[in-house]
Order: sequence, then structure tokens, then C-alpha cells
Amino acid sequence: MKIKIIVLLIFCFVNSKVYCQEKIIIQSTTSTKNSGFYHFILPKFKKETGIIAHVVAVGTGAAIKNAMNCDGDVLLVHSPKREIKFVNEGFSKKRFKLMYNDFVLIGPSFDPANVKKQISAIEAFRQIAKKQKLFASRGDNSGTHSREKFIWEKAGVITKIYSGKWYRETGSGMGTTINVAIGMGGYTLSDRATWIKFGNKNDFKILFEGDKILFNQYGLMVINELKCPMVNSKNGKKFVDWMISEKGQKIINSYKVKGKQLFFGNAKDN
Amino acid sequence: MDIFGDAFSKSFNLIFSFDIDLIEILYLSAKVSLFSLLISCVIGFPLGAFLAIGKFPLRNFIVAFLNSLMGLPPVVVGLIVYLYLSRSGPFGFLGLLYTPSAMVIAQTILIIPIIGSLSCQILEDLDKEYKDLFKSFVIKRSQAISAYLYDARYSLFTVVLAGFGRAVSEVGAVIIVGGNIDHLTRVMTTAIALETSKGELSLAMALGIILLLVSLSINFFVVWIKHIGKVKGYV
Amino acid sequence: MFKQENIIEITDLNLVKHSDNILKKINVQIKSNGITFIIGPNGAGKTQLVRSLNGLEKINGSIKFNNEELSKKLILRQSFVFQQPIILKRSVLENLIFFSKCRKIKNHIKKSKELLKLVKLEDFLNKPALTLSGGQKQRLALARALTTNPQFIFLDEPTAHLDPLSSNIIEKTLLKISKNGTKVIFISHDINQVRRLAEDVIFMHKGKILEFNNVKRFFKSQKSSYTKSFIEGKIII
Repeated sequence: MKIKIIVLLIFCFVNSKVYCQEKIIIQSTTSTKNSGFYHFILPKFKKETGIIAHVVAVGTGAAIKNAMNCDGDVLLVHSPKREIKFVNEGFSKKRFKLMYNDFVLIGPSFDPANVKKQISAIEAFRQIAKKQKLFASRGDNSGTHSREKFIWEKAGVITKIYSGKWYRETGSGMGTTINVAIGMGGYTLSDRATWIKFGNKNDFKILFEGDKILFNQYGLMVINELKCPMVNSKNGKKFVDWMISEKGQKIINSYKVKGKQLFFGNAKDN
Repeated sequence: MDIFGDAFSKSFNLIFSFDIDLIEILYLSAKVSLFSLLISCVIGFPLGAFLAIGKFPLRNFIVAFLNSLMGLPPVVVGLIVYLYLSRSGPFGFLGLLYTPSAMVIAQTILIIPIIGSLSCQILEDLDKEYKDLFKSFVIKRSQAISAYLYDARYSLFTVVLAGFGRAVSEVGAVIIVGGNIDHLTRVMTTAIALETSKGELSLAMALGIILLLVSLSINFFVVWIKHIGKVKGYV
Repeated sequence: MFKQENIIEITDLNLVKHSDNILKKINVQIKSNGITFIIGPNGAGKTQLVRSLNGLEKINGSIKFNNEELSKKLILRQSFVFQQPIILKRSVLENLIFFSKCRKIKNHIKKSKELLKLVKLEDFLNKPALTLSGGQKQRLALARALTTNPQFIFLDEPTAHLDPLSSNIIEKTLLKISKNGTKVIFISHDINQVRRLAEDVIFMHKGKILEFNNVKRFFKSQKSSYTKSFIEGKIII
């Protein structure tokens, strides 16, 4: 009995920060975190609502899995197809378009596969496969990964055959994958926000951008309290409402790194 | 790319500017590791002593099992703890996932085998020395266990250190159950992982250097304590 | 002063260890109140016999103290001083206090200090016990064995390789407690020590007792030729 009480007290002490506040947990893609977006926006949200938002950034695939285990109150990811599936399965009542930016193909500046000159992203990918130049894939079911797989499919390249040869799956987050790509001098697909904020660029550059297929939509959902009774849907809803409000969208648009806007609010399209 | 030189000057700056974020991260690292160490010692030492003294059927099997648990990959432990603490898991109602407590639980599971197994080996040697004397004096088992733990205290310091080393350097388990949440569950190792993934390699390395300094100073402390023990003839 | 009668009765004692027959059908009755010595060549089973008396070995046969079969209760009234002193990694005083406290001896701290004075270790109370010399360690072990007021005390070559001062202190202490009614069983290789201290002597060889006699008669005439050779320092085959 004594031991139980002591253990309980220890946990209370260790967790002292947890109990005394209004909070939500955001299951999130990594790009929004690594780009410093949350650092910019969450203090402003806290100032207005008093709610502390805790961000678990694990990649879209893992974030959706965690959310399906009810381990979060809000889901912020970028893989529309899977988001719609998530809503259809009842894990959320509604999906909101939040903001967008785009994916970019990055690689060494001397561009061994000559992707710069290609007319489309699909053609650029085809060139990499044709010349068997190294490509670092996320390989982690993230939003970026699923977009990359989609482009390979359109290009008619079956990457499975080349796995471990010129096609390298890191199974890691965006930043780690960029590190790998730089380390081996290969190409990779990244979201623009992570790349702009990335610190270890070496001589790597954006080699292809601007194709429609590279459009990157972020979605925002409150996890359904009917599926997950422990979800703090009240605070979750406050967060979503604030983010898609005119004010929230304005703040999103005002976030700039090195003079460049990283995310473009498009909640009015909902 | 002079990451090392850059890292050294960055770590220097971080330490001497008393960076608030760094202090917070260090404090949480210490808090989580020390609490899990404390709980592990309270459970692990008596367990080790019991296995060292005890002669019962499955004893050798349990010792072998404990030994192999020492090599348990942290991610596996993290995953198991996650599944239990997840809101959809059996202990989800406690709301412990993504809190420092969850990290303490995961690390405790990681360290108990180390404390138990290593202390068992040390106490087994001591048992060979003391066994006849204690039997001759008809000393109760519980009294013997506490005496063994007390008399092996200088050697057991090394065991505590091994446990602390594993706790403070481990990243796989705490990043899963803690979630690496800023100002809540970010510790040294997960911060290093994060900065690496942001491509801030020199900052990551600077944090690594600070972690190294912390563990170096703790190691020197233990060496000093062992020296005292040696002077007294207790080691 | 009334002296308690101490009788040790061993009947058909057999001890097998690692499939070696170490003690072979030992039958003996020790009745005297003085110090009983056990002597014999190496490997005779002397140590194993006293260990059996202290309940440290799994034996076949019967061992009775004052008509009571050996049990935990009886072992509580015994003490053992090992050939290599087993010293706790603590201070000299704590080496005594730990055991007297576990055994709930009254006034145990005061008594421990008295005993340490008896073996002339009173100046080292707080010294780490492992830093003592060999002789001091053995004196400590003896003082510790006495903390529980034993009725029987077994000593396995306690004075082998000791300095003369330590041997002398140990011998004097044993004579004193033996006079106060504690039965002392003493293994030794030192024939002169036997002559000095013994009341009676047991001679063992190859797991058997070949001779058991009062000390005077023991040295006057021996039943077995082995015993004679041993006393004279000859090789026994």
C-alpha cells in the first residue's frame, strides 16, 4: 500500500505539467513541425484560448494510425485520399482543407539525371529511373511518400524491382531522408516547407517544381468522440475553428522563413 | 563542412548562455532517467539479491531470461508500452501516453533487467563468500538480502551507473511513448533526433557533446566513490 | 559455580559430498566440559565433521546435543569460527553488531564493545574490518562468534599462520569461555597447542575416528599406529 502511494506521488510529480492545464494533442505530419510552423502559430493560439497544444509529429501514415488508436484529439496531415477514408470510417465527422504548398524534387546541383529540363514531374521521375540515378524514398507511408509513389505509378516505373539498387527507402522522416539523399548524392521528393527550413543543404537545390501533380494539400480533422470517448473534442474543435477562421488563416499566411511563405491558407475552399 | 568545430562553439554557447530551452530539456532528461532509475533499483536490487541467494526450480531459467532482456531493443519496449497506454489500449483511461510518466514506465522496463541481472552476478559472488557465515548464524533471508545489498554497495554503484547510462542515452522508447512534444516530453536524445532530422547537424552534435559532458561528470563521480571504497578495503 | 553438562552424541554419521565418502559411520560421545581437539592429517574429514555439527552439511545419521537432535533451535546456540575468517565489508564494530542485532541480543552494542576489548581490538572499533591484519581478523571472528552467547563453539584451525600475539589472545579467550561453561571444539595441527589446551583429543583419519581419549592418556599411549606416526610427525600412508 505504502509503495503504491509513493509510486503514485512520483508519477504526479513527474507529470505535474500535465494535469493543471487545458490541452490538446495534435497528431501531425512532420513537415509542419520541422518547418517551425507550430512554434510560430501555437503560442498565438494559446494566448487567445488558453489551450496548450502538444504536437506529436510522426509522419502522416503513423499519425493516422495513432489517431485511429484514439491517441490524439486533432489530426493534421497531408494525404487527402487517406483523410477521406479516415472520415468515411467514422474516425472524424468532417475534414477541413486547411492550407497548401507544394512538393519539390531536390537533388545535387549538377543534376546527373537532367531533371531540370523536363516538362513534367512524371517525366523528371522517368529520367531518374532511366538513368538509374540514386533516389531516396521516405518509404514510411507518409503523405510525401504516397505522393511520390503516385508519381512513379504515373511514370510507369515499378520501384519495387529497384528497391535497394538505385531506389533507396529510408523508412524515416523527411529530414532524415533529405540527410540520406545528400549523403549519397541522390534525388528525393520533399515538401517545400521542410526543404526551406532545412539546415544541412550542402550543394543541393530544388531541381523541379511547379507541376500540378506536386500540389500539397493539408487537411485538419477533430477526432470523433463517438469512436474515441476519451478525446477532448471540445478543445479540438476550438483549435480547428480557430485555424480555419479568417484570423487563423491570416496568421498561417504570415509565417515566413527566409522571406518565403511556407503555407497558403485555403480554408475558404471548404 | 566543419560540423565539429561549429558544434563545439555552439555547445559552448548553449552552456554558458544558460539557454532556457536547453535547461528545460536537461532537467526533464535527468528527471525521467533518475525516476526510472530509482524505481528500477527499488525493484531490481531485491530481485537480483533474491536470485543470487535463492535456490528454487526455475532460478537458472529466470536468470537467463533476465540476462537476455538486457539486450531488449528500446523500440520494442516503446511499442509495448505504447500499446498498453494508448487510449484504445487497456490502460488508456489513465491518460499517461505522451507524458513524462509514460517515459518513466518505458525506461523502467528497460533498466530493471540491467539492475537485476548485474546485481545478481555481483551478489552471487558475495554469497559464495558470506553463505557459511550467515547460515551458521541462522540469519533470516530478508535480513541477509539487505546485508548483501549494503555490503556490495560500492560495486552496485557501477550497476546503477550502467542503468543510468542506458536510460539517459536511450531514444527509441521515449520518442514513441513520449512523442517528443516540445516543453513536455522532449529530452536530450529526442532533441538530438529532431535536430538531426531538421538538418541542424551542428546543433544536434552540440547537444550530443553536452550529453557526453553530463555522463562524463557522473562517471567521474562514481570513480571517486569507488576510490573511497577501495581505500576502506570495501571493493 | 554450577557447570552445565555438555554432551555431544554422534551416531552413525555419514557424509557424502560430490559422490565422495567423506565421513564414514562416525560414532562418538563427547562428554567433557573442557576443550576437545580434533587432529589428523589433511583430508581426514575434520572440517567436515565440525561443519556437520554446525548444520552446514547435509548428513546421514544422528547428531544430538544434550539428548536433543540437531535443529535450527540448537544451531542458534552454536557458533563457528572458520579457518579463513569471513569478514563483512563494514567496520570492526559493525561486524559484530549486525549479527547481534539480527539475533536480538540485549544490550548488543555494549556487549559487542566488551567482546572486542576481550580480543584486544577496542582501538579499532570504527576501522574498516577488511584492512585489519590476518591475526586481527581472526580475533574479530572469534569476538563475533561470542556475541550470541554460544553454548557450543567450533573452531577450524583458527590460529594457523597467526602471529604469536593473536594466537595467545585467542587461546586465552577460549580457556576463559570454556571455564564459563561453553563447550569448545577445536581443530588444530599444532601438537604443542593440543598439549597446552586440550581436555580430550579426537584423532581422525580417512573419514573415521581412530582415537578418542583424555589428553594425558592420548599422548601416553596410542591404540593405532597411524596416531603414533602422526604425533611423531611421520608420513601416514
